[in-house]
Amino acid sequence: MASSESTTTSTTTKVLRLKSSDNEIFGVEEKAALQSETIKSLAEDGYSEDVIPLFNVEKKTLAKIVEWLNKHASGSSKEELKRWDADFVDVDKDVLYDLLLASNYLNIEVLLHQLAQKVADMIKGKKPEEIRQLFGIKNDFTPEEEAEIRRENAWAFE
Amino acid sequence: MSNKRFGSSKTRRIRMPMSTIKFVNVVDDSDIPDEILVEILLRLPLEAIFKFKAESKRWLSLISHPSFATSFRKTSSFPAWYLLYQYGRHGSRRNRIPAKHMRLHVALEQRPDFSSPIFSLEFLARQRDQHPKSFSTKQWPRYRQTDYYVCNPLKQWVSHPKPLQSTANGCSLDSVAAAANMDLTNWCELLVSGLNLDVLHVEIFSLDFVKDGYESVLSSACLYASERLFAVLSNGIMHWLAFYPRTIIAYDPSKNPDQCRLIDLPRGSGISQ
Repeated sequence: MASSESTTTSTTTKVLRLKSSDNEIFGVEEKAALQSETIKSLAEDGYSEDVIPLFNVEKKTLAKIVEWLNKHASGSSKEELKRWDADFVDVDKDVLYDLLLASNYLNIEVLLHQLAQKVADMIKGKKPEEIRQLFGIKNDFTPEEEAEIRRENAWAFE
Repeated sequence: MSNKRFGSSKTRRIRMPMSTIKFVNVVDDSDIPDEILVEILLRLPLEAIFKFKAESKRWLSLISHPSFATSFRKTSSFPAWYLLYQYGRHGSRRNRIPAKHMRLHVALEQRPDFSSPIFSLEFLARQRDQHPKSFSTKQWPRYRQTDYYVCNPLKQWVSHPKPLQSTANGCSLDSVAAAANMDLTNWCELLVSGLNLDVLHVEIFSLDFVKDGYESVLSSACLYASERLFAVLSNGIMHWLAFYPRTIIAYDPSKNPDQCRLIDLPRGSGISQ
């Protein structure tokens, strides 16, 4: 334990400061933060000395994202990351939804794919009506149109 | 092939920031950008994708967009195509089934066009881990066939091009074996023309050259097949088993697309008809 601490490099790791839409500031090591393509671009544009404003992400979501970024930059083993990720995406649908939008906005591809997979797993066995409810979809088909689509794809509804 | 709509992640530009997406507690479909929805849909099995066409016009159009099928083929861990065969009795024009009437559901068997006893629909490789199988019919046809159709269920029916060699003899479904690779473009089919103990010509059809029709990969080989050839896909290589001579025909579309390999079975290997 003690020995591992003494081996940390002497160079100070650079910390980027990320600001949520509701003005909370998170310090994140550069290496972790740059997993986000959006943050990377903003940092390259000269925001890095200052605070990087993330207008589209609220603090509760950003806190989760930062947690993910740190974990994925921590050098954990593959198996451990897999377990950790499974726990990470095991959240209710509103949180999942916020994370999806945020990971898309921040352009963190790996996270976006994990979240999309989670949602796909959640919905794959559901009926169209349940999906409408879950996603707040307005059914804009006429009854005839919907019946036609169901008829054409009847095998999928078996 | 336009893949613009979904953008590859590498080229994805940052959407700059000023128009804030609303974060609301109640999820509203219209707040989810197309690209996120597509990321989710791409991870579903085909059944679910087809089912969810019925959600709304937006979902229908995302799923039906040609770039969705392209992305699905590239990214999905599910079989790229569920091959659906339907075939009508050859010959007279009247009995040909126009592609536009082909639909993906079994209910269509009730249509007058499809009421022929030799018509059948069957999915190949429906289960993820299942070996692709050659298709079968409910009532095994003894007729010569001239029309085959393959369907990309995400898109449209494709009319199977006529085999090169078999036009003279017709081609019996009895002697057709198909194997579906997980990768659509490597989908191949071995067609053996001629019936029973006639000399057979082996032709391979891959969707890579769907426009040009059949490619006769092994046109000089003479094989005899009995009732039918069985197809097995293993490690991306298609294998067909022929009985006379006892031979396995192996075709590896990725390594050696120009040639089939014949593997002789040892004598007395106990394979019987």
